Amino acid sequence: MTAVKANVQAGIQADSVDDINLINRVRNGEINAYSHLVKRYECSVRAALRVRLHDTSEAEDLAQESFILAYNKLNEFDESRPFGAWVRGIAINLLKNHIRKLKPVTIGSDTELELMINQHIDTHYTADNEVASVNALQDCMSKLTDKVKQLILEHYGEGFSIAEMTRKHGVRHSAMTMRMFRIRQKLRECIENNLKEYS
Amino acid sequence: MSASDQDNNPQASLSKEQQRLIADYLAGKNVDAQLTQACKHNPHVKAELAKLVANDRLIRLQIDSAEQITKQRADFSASVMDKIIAQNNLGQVHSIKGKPAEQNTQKTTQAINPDNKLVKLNAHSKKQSRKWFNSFNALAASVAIFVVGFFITSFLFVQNNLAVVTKVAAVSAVNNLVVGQSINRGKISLDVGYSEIKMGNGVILLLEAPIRLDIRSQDLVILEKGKLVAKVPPQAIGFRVDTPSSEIIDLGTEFAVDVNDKGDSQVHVLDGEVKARSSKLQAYKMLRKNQALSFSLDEKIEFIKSSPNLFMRALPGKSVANSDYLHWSFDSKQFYSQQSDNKQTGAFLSNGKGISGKQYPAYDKTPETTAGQGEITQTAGVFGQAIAFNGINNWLETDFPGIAGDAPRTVSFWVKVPKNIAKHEVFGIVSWGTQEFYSAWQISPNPFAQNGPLGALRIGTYNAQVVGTKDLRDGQWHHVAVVLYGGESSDISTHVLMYVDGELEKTHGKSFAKVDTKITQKNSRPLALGRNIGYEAEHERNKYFRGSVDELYVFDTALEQQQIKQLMQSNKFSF
Repeated sequence: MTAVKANVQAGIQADSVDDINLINRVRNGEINAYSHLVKRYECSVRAALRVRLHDTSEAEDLAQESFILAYNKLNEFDESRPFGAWVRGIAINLLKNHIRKLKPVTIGSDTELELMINQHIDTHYTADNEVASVNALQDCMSKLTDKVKQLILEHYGEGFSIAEMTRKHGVRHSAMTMRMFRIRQKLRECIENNLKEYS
Repeated sequence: MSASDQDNNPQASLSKEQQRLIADYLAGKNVDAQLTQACKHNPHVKAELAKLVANDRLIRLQIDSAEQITKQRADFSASVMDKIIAQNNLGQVHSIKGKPAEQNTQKTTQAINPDNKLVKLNAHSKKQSRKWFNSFNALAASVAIFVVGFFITSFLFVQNNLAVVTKVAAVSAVNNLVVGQSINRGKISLDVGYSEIKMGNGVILLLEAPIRLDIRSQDLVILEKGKLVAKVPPQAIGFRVDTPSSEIIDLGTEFAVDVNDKGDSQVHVLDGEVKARSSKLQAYKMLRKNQALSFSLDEKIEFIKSSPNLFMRALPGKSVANSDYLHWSFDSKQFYSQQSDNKQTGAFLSNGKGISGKQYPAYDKTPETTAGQGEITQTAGVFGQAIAFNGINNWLETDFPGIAGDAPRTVSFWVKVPKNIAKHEVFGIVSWGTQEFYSAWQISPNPFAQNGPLGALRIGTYNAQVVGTKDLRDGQWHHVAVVLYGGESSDISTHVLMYVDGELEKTHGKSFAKVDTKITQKNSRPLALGRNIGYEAEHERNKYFRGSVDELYVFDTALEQQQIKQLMQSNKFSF
């Protein structure tokens, strides 16, 4: 079950208490019980938003908003449906509103491409494969060599641009570009092979 | 669109070129236009690109999540809970318990209705919770309050000597900013050039004209229009810049602000951290190094691409009073033998003070074998005679290795570029250095539209360049000068000033790379004129510059505009 895997992934002990029980405790004023729900579904909500938005901090903000909104709407929650799907639905709605608020895109602008990419991602990612992709990716990343790990951490974690990494490692710009591209392709293939296990 | 089977393995069907395009895009290169077209023509390109972009985003999520566990980053669920508790304390939602559903519904529909900014509902809770779970922000908030408090009391005192002008560059003579001048509370403006001012609390502001600034106190300036870069030392954290559309508070950093004529603004964090918002009603957004935000007057906020290369980050100190320099007048040709081959060739002697006391003749390297082309011809120059390069095989070489590393330098000369100059005839009016990343120093008219206006003055360092504005291709003599300010972190984009006909050029396509001219390697080339330093077999057609050159000067210091004007007007250099 993906949710359980996701919890393990987030370093959280999977709670044996079921969602309905937690929701009722929250409704009866035990606010802290809500944190278990947040921990249980944060991976799915964050993955859904992060994969659809280029801007990580916007995505993180929206993910937090989603849980706050879900908390505020908890009385409207229909218990016959899964809580995880409901909160993810709230997140996707918030995202749609967020995108609507952004300026309309003029054809030929830089954002046209991003819009195209985002639309494609939106249709190809679903609640089923988002968390699975995250877990698959985690497995794939754990198998990388230290050298590749270092490159990934520099680029994604510490925000080094390709130009900066080029200088740092003393290679040509085009070589670094292709190297990162090959790493990406490798990860992509690995994720696709792993997905079969996780879904 | 239905996912085809191809989607599972699109890369199999992509050409090398398409792959390269995607790789460039992911590496941050601006290939948006070509890639947009490629995606429209070929769904597989789009599928592969989308996959890789999605994975990129998930990799970032992965790394963030790992950091959350290992570092002191606020954990996601903890900050959600903080916000819920904070909103409950604020009485926005007392508690879920026993609340009638309609009230809740009302509250939340308002929250997700885009017209009723969701942001506003959470503005309070955001700020509240920040104070709860992040003591660093709490400190910043209190600093901000202190700043405001100080600002109010500052009305009670006469605000004199808030700052002092430490440097100026390329400012006009009528401008009233001079080095050493102290600045009182009130407005200052600069129509041309650059100026650096230092506030009493150690904050350094680099101003780029045209700029209008209102200095309210040591901790608050209002940027009405123009560009500034603020370097804020630890003791001045909380320094604030207000613009017509934003409010930016520094948290110990270097950041840049740009306000356009309309009043829209951008902030780019060059180092450290700042927080910014578009109005008092909103929560601050936190920005880190290499992040940038734009603010419109109607309070639209957007993350934009960080572009530190749009800003000048450092200015030279005073010119070295006693510059070494070489000057080639090209007035008369002598016969001379070059050390390397001991052959008698035509040469143009240098004069001036010399560099480290030495003079360097410029030898005519035109191959004698070319019948009829002969040697470099002389032509009427701006001062006395000039030289004309035929663009086919004429070039001059000296034994002067050039100026190395990121040391300051000024190269100044007259040039006449033919109206019909072809792309393959532009490179190498003057050059020295090595054909490796950032290791060359070559001045040419610009042939690449993607770097800036065609025909404009271009300084290239191999894979990085700065391009001016004025098109030199008019068959007339123009005086050009390229100045590099050396220093700790000379980035070509932040330390190069270019002058055409004595006036500072607006520059385009600045690259962000350290200048490191290499002159001692086996493959380094000494100072040459008329030949492309990048000339290799594969550049078959891009070997030589076509046009005329007169009065070349090379200084080992960064000249000021008035000295460049003096060279242009009188062909003399004196202090």
